[in-house]
Amino acid sequence: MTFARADVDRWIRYHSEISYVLTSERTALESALIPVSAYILVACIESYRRYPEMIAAISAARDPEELGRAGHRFATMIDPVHLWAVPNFPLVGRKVLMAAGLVDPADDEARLATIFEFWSRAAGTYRFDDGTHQSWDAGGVATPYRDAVIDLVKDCEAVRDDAERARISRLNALVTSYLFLLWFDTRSGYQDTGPYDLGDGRVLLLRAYSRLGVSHFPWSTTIARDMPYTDVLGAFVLRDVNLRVTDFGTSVIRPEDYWPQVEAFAFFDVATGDPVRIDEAGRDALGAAAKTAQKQLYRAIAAMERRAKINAGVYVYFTFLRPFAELAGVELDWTVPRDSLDLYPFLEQIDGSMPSPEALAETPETYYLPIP
Amino acid sequence: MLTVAPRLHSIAVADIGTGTRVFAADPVRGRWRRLSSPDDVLALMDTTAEGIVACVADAGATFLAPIFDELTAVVCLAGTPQSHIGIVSREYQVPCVMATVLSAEPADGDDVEVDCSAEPGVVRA
Repeated sequence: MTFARADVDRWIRYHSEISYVLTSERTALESALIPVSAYILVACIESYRRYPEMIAAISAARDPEELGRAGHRFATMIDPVHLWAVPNFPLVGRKVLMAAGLVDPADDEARLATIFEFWSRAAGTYRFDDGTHQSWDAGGVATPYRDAVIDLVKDCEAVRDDAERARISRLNALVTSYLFLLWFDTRSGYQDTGPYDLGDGRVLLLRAYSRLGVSHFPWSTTIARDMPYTDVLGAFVLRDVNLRVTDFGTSVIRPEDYWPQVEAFAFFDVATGDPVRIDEAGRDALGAAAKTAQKQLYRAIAAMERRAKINAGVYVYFTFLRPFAELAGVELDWTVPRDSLDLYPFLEQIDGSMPSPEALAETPETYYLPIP
Repeated sequence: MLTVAPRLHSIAVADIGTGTRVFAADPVRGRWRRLSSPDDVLALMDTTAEGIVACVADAGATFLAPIFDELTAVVCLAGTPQSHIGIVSREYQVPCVMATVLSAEPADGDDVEVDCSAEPGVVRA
């Protein structure tokens, strides 16, 4: 461990201020279909208790800097939200454990030092060693695919008319909505990056639609088997917009309805890492498959017991670290719930439909508390 | 206190709620439907959700997933435009009002208007 107490305190404060704003902008996240708040808390406690050891194993197999740079390639899932999650999931779990009096200060420092060191090194190279660690530091800019922009734009085609614009936006919406469901109401299945400045008032927005097909999610094996593509990249050339991306990988665009500003577009199959343009027939097949799979999955989730839904969501959240482990070639135990069973009976009852008074009283400085 | 400027609309209606619009959109009219459970959504999935203005309590994206593209508008009682349901409504270009405060709730089937032409978004009945 090379991080000192002062480093740990500094990164706690850094993440506290940023994540306070990010989560307050997002606010409510409960779903009448999926008990999101309950599964997030269970997963975050698992992350606090298990990520340090897992991260040590990953770091031993591959330098964090290499893993950060891997995010410059397509379909690796080293992206803004997966990087954001590495420190923030454990920190959220720590909030719950601190409230319950279950955090030991010395142990806390060691855990956070391991997590922050890994994250800061990976996030630094992901952002091309420019001194920033997150989109937040750069005023809402994340451009990991900057080296590919010229080729991607060359393959974009002009939007012919409003009918075509409507088809593109519908395809994007179908796939985005399907991914929210496949990823149990997290936004990690689709990730926006940009703005890639093209000059002359135009910017490129790149949207990664990840793991559309069969994956390590058990529920994907039947419902996603007919997806024609597994990893897709959407490229949208926009004129006269103000585009920023958050560290959740979500774009914030002015005007909010940006589709009339889309001048050119392309969808690419990026499963192999090399973009291959998807033609109109392929796009139609993708949209139809997403619509069908979404209906099947909705029925399947609706039929699940609450605890099964929670455990599935915990798995989605806890495996945010998995892309790093896979790239490092490390086999790890992703079983959940495993190390949260002491608190599980309480946590599984939580319904986050309404913010708690404690949450409303938080400030940017106290969202994550210093080491006791 | 939020002051709502009067706007033109074709049918005499009263403002019954305001909230944060997700994006600018012309007023739309549809039938009010309060959706509370996945069974409500499945019933519409098996028939149609066209013409429905869905009112939901929570801001998750998944609850309305299979019918979102058919909805006329969404009225959400929580969240912000950056909440998951706000993101999906933007992508589907389905007008959506977040953190809506209703002074009165219409009955299921009542004709309502959702006006996102200016901030704040307004619900009328």
